[in-house]
Amino acid sequence: MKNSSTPDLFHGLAPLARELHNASGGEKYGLGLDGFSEILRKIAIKYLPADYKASDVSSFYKTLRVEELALARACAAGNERAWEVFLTRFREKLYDIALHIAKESSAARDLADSVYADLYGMTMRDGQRVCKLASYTGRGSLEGWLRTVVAQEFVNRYRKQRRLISLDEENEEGIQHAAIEAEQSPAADSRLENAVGVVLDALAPEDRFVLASYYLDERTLAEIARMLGVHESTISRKLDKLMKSLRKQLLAEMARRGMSRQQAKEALEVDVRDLTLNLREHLSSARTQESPRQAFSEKEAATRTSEGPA
Amino acid sequence: MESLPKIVESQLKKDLRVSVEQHPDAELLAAFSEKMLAESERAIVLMHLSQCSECRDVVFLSAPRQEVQEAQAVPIRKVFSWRPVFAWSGVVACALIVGSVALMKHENQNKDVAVYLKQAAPAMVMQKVISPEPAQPSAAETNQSLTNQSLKKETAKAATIVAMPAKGADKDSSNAMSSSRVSGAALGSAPTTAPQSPSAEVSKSLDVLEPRSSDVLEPRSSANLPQTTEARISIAPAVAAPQAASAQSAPQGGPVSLKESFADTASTKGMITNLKLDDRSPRWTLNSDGTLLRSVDTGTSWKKIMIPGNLATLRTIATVGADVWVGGSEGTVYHSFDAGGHWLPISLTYNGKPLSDDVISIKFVSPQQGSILTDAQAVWTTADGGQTWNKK
Repeated sequence: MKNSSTPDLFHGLAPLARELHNASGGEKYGLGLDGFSEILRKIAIKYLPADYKASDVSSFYKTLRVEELALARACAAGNERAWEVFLTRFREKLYDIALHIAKESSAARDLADSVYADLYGMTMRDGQRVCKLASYTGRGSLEGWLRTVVAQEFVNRYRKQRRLISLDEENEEGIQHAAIEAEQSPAADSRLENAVGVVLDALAPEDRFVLASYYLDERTLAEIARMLGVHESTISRKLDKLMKSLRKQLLAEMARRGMSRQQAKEALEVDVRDLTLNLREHLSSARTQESPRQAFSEKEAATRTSEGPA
Repeated sequence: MESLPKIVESQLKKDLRVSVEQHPDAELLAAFSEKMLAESERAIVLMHLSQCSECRDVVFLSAPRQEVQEAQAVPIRKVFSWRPVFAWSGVVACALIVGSVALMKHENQNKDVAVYLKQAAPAMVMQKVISPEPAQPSAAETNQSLTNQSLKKETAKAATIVAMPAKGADKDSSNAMSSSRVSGAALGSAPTTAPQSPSAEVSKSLDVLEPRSSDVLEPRSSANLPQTTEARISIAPAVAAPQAASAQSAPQGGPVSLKESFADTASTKGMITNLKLDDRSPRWTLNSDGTLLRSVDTGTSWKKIMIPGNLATLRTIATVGADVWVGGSEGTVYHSFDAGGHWLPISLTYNGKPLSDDVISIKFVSPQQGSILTDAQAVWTTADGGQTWNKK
């Protein structure tokens, strides 16, 4: 991934690495300067673009949470003192995180235990223990990383569970290996479809994210705002503006493809009426066949986890 | 919210079916939630998230809790708002326009009366100038309609209009007299008591409003009139719209009545209430990244508190009244005796050896007595507010 200039660049950053090593407190966990420098080097190689400069590396390193990075890597290396500190800081917190996500105490305990097993390195790969903490690179807080790890575990479990339930239901109904029905396109006119494709492709990633979260996952404005770390009113304004501009752009694109304004409006209006009839069916089939979208609305999460096997 | 056309929804879902080979690792998703990614990385992660419902679920579930986020996002609420000022300015403007129009109409009417008096009985006019008492009933009659229409809506501009004919007093005494009558009628029923000085006090401005004819005839009267006008300008808003006065900034050296009316308004009461709320004892918390936060409004909004010179990650906090202790990595302990106004570093030493372990818990039962737990499971205690320490 990196060119031959890589070692030189890192060689020039030795004083910074020493400074960061001191700040990290890695020495007390048995993490020496060389080991720590090697960790830093690998992190930079993983995240920095191919054409990075020495100044990029320097400013990138300064954003890392080196103290938590040293702790996590020392834990991964099996340092007992590091584990003591880690457990003192995060034992209860991890359970709180699991409870916040799973909403139910026994499911939360189960989830937290499963994550602990990964963190301890109970899983083996190629004859070696794999400790999840070795993948922490200090880009966000250790607590934030733990929250994400627990959430990933929860989503994976949920997906497996849904698949099992779905297969059971199909077996009960005598349907085996049912093929996924082809999505019926509501609009016969390919010009409309093309116009939509063009408009959606031109959307900014954040706009597309908001659109998918609101209309596909059925998240509330507050939930989307929390995900993006902004105020709810910002999302409300953004969505409102987005819908107006989307409609405007769709009409313009359809006009460009030879449709009259009236035709274009009618195509969209018919489409919306159709949506009301088919949306429920569409969403329910999506729930059983695809990933757990709309599955973790705060209102429903508790019910769902108690329904399924722990 | 507007419905999404089905074709758009369908297309969005179609994109979801594009199998996403590689999900961003937990590291990137966590950094995304904490806004730690560079713009280019953030765009890549967002693009993936817009196509991958699983990762959207992960981000949703792992998003920082509401209270912490609000603490970062919500600024301290302003005590005073200019909004009511702008809201009332419209009312004041309307009052100005109505008052001015009414006055201008009436001014023309008065000119007609003056011309009539001048033409019909010049001698009688002179008599009235010398003895004003008989003239007052006629002046009151002349201005009756004006009094009814514009008394309550009279403003500074109106007062200026009233003053205009008065400037002609040097040229024509009858004009001066009629203008003085107008001014009296415009701002209230004219009292007969003459003031010692027309421009003396604003509180006596109603007395000023009806200058005696003798004053008009004296040479200095023309010089005094502008001063009288100024006094009227300053009091006009108070007479015209006491509520609007609260929204307007008082003129420099303005009358006391303006300040009183300002103090009585609802907005001012709101300010006082807010100030009382702000006086409540502060609440403290530590963010997941060790940021110290303080709330002075019972947790509604939180402000980041920076401790000068602190480089350590803070982990624990203890408070007793206004005394606050915080502790963190490598034996860092700070103490504030004034609820976060000033911070002093506390150096923990025992037998000449400073504490270098992380502080993971602080407990104080009084400003003097407290204990500190380190990650090496050592307990440090003090009985003199942190000046000397014992280690167990």
